[in-house]
Amino acid sequence: MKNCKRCSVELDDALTRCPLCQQPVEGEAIEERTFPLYGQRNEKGELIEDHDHKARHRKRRLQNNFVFGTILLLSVTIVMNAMTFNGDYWGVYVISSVLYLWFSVKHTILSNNRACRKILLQAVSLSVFLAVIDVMIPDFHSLIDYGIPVVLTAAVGVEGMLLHFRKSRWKSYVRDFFVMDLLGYIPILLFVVGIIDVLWPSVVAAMVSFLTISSQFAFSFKRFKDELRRLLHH
Amino acid sequence: MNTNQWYRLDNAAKIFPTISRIENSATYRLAITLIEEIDPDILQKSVDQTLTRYPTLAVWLRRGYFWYFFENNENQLLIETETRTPCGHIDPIYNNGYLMKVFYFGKRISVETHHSLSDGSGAIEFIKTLTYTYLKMSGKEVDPGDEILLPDEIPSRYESEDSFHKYYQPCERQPIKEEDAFMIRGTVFKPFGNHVDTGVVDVQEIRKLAKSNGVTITTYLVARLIRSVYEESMQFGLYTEPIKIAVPVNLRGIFPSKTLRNFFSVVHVVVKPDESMEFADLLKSIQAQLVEKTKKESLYPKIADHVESERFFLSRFIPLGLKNIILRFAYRRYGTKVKTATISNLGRVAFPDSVSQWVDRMEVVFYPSTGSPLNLGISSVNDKMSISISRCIVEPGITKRFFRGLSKEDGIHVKIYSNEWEAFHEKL
Ligand SMILES: [Zn+2]
Repeated sequence: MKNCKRCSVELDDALTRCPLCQQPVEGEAIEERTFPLYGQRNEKGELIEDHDHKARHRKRRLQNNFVFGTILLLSVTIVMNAMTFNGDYWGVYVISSVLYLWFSVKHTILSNNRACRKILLQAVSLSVFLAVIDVMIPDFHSLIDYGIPVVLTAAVGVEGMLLHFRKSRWKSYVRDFFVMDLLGYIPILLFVVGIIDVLWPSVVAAMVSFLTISSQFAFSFKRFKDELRRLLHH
Repeated sequence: MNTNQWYRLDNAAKIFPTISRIENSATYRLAITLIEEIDPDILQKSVDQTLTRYPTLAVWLRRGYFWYFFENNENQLLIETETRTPCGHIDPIYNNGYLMKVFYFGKRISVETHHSLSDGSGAIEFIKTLTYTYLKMSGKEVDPGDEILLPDEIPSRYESEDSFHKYYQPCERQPIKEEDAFMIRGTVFKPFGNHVDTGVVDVQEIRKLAKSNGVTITTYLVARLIRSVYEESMQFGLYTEPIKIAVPVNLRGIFPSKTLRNFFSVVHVVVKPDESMEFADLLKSIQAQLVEKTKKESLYPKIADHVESERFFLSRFIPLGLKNIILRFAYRRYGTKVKTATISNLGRVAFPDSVSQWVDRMEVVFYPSTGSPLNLGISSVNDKMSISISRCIVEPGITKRFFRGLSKEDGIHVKIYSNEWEAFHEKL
């Protein structure tokens, strides 16, 4: 039996010093530990305890460097554009391209997201990017009229296929699939309010969205209904 | 079991998936020490069997558009030997989707539960069933009595209810401006981890001590903690913030609920630094506060606050991603400053004699966080009470004062166990 006289407490035999006053205590430590010896390493030589932290730190540091670089680049662009200003907002192209690239790297390339989430984020960011460029170029509307509907149509189609053919991932895809499918109707709405001037690409996007979701419903109505009830509960 | 089961998160659970991270794991540990070495194979089988009785624990967390929800998880919950810090952050990706873990080490079985699944009372039921099943599978003669939920019973509907909604009553109340609490400061362990010192004392001895002072055991230990915090950190400084000790209250003791999910409320014992720190005065003040604040009438407004904020239409229809951002911000700004420390007393864990003869003691370890770096967990089995002080800071002063107070001033026999995480600070 071990004791710490300073603290007047009995100590677990596995202890070699008093955890309260930090002083060593007399007596041999017994073999049998009450708690594990932390800091053991796995086959790869990484700390078992710490692998999560380290990976996160590395990722965060990398990300911070990128953020810093981006902010620097954008500030330089704005200053340059302002100082040499001749009626041309060329800085907007640079800034939107950089932001789009940034978003793609972070959410599509580096992220652990499921495929349907990546496609959704990519479709949204690409559409926004196209819209910005389109607005910047005078008398040019093709990117909004054709580009955005094409991007959304493709994204909806691919997500429909993924959902249909990768059955084991169904649960992790379906949440983003519904959102993607809804986005497919945006071009036709934009046509109605007069932002999009060409009708047929928007109609195609809406048709593809409608056919995709109705075919999914036709295959497994109950499953979809159940899933929607869960996802939408509030 | 209905394989297609899903659950809404209960009212108290809703915040935890949003705010939990490595430095605030929202994961607490219940650890039972038997008198024999644990056999991992039998333990794994016992876990498999026990989980079938607890469908609300055997779940994985999914994201809806407005809230998270649980869906039953058909993977196996794999037991592990302890290698990491107690109450560490659980990443379901590396845990077959589960938000709980079962560890074994020597004679100890530890169950770590993310707070979104259940509070301590729910987890105690799980560990009781697990212990019973384990002993039975190891060939011991054990009789479950009435105290243990058995794996072959059908789970009751009442066990999965959200009792907050059930016992909610609309009530008039004034908004109270909560004062910021005094915060314990210290050097946070690197790597982040949880240093746990457990003092094991005799229940009779400490009950006698509390009784001779005319207070409950919880009151007595809260007073000891406040004294320790004051002497260690505030005595010679100019502090204006009050010491606030958060005391979780098991609402099942007040309302007739059988739920195995969260059903607790937190009351704050508040002591201002300009008040008398004489021990007798402290005891009187704390006892009075606890009696007043745990009355049914005082708890209804708290339940109403929580239920109404969940039912508020904005919180219902803000998309989950945005809600997470808002809640995280609000939590960082307001949530961490409401308390100095938490004392969670789970009380006596009742086993039938045929089981308790194989049990040595039971510990509750409450997760520390950078916002609340030191907490206490208390529970007892047979006649042994374990008081576990967990901290994520290097400084041992408060722990030392707390246990020295019990041993030197009160003459209580204390046996100290420690996981010695501090030995690894800046060394890993
Ligand atoms: Zn000592």
